[in-house]
Amino acid sequence: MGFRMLRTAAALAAVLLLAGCIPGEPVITPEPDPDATPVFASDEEALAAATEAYAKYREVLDKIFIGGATDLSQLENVATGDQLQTESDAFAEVNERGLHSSGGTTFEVQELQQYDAGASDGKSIIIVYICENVSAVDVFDQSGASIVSSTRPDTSLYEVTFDWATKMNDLLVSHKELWSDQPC
Amino acid sequence: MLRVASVICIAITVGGWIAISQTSAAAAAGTCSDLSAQTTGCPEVTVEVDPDEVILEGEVDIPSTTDPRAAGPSGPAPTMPPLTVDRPDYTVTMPVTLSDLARFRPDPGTDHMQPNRWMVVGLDTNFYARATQHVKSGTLLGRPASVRFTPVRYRWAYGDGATRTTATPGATWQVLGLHEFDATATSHVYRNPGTYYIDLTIGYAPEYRYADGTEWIPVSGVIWVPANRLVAEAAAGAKTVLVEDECTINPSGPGC
Repeated sequence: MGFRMLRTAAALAAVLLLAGCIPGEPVITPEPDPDATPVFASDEEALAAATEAYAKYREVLDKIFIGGATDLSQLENVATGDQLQTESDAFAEVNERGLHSSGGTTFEVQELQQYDAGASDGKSIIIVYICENVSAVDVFDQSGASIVSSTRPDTSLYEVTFDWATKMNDLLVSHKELWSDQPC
Repeated sequence: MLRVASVICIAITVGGWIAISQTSAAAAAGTCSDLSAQTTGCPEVTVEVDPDEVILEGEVDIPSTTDPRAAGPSGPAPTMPPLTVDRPDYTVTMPVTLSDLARFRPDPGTDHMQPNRWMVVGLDTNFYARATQHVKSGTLLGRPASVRFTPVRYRWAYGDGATRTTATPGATWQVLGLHEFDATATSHVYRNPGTYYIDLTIGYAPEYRYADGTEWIPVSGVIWVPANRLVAEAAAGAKTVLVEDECTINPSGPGC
């Protein structure tokens, strides 16, 4: 009986140890790898870098869409993973249907959701909320007619995930999904 | 005392893990492209073609509010336990995922034959289908969604072992400008007397439109819908057939 209790206590201690739960320490933020040097010194720095990376992403995507998606070579410099796949597929459709856009999307970074200082190469490192405004954008088909729906929202709030690409020493957009269908 | 504090800590860690795993589960389906954002708006709609229906599926995450039901059109959302995080200036928002399904089934068409419900052994019996392009409407995530079905294939099982699949529905002899018992693209000759059960299945090509999108978006796949079954008697060596002229005068005339 005494042995069993001891074993239970040891198992509980092991669980506590694995969970990294020592009272007084933050619980949500993953512990940084002691061998890795954090890419950004602070949350503010991370947010600034994400804002800069997203500006580059937006510039490249708008340019591709306006040009009818004939040249996708720049896409890999700003996107990766899921988002690269999604945009490549969508742009293939744009090209096939002979669509093109005009105007450009404006955006505003709203808030940092998380910054994982211990994230390794090719892993999600920063997640931010970004409000995009497409009110100046029009999309045309081959005949020059607009295919924009009358119910398209002007603004939408997205959750945007960035991966750290060591080789490029840069942040790449790896995922972007609608966070709220309310205007922002 | 230490143990109690640690147990609370585990609960929070587990809660955090649940929130993260939910976000990434929704993520797989929820990626948004510029094409969608700039034409119809997100969420993207995924389409599935079942043997007999088209299923449109949409999903959107919204930040939790005090009353999650106020946030979306899809009725009661799951209620989440409150989550507090012991870190200054940080709040954790649990997303509520609204997902919705809309199902669409095409109307069946009808099968017709000439002569009506009987045939003459050795002569052409004319079959034709009636099916039209039609639109089924529904609601997905509180916004209108429609599927348009266009008949594109007609598969006849003539009941004597023979089958034929055509791209044309066929038409009456009159409409085709032909004589009775002439061969058509959809006619069939029965070689033996008896009772035959003729089954027609119509293949519809679906397209969909979400939230008043301006263009119909084609969906790959064809939905096969059975039409009515015809039962007809094939008479052996019909002694009397109404023909245009006397067969002795015009031996090559219809029915001769």
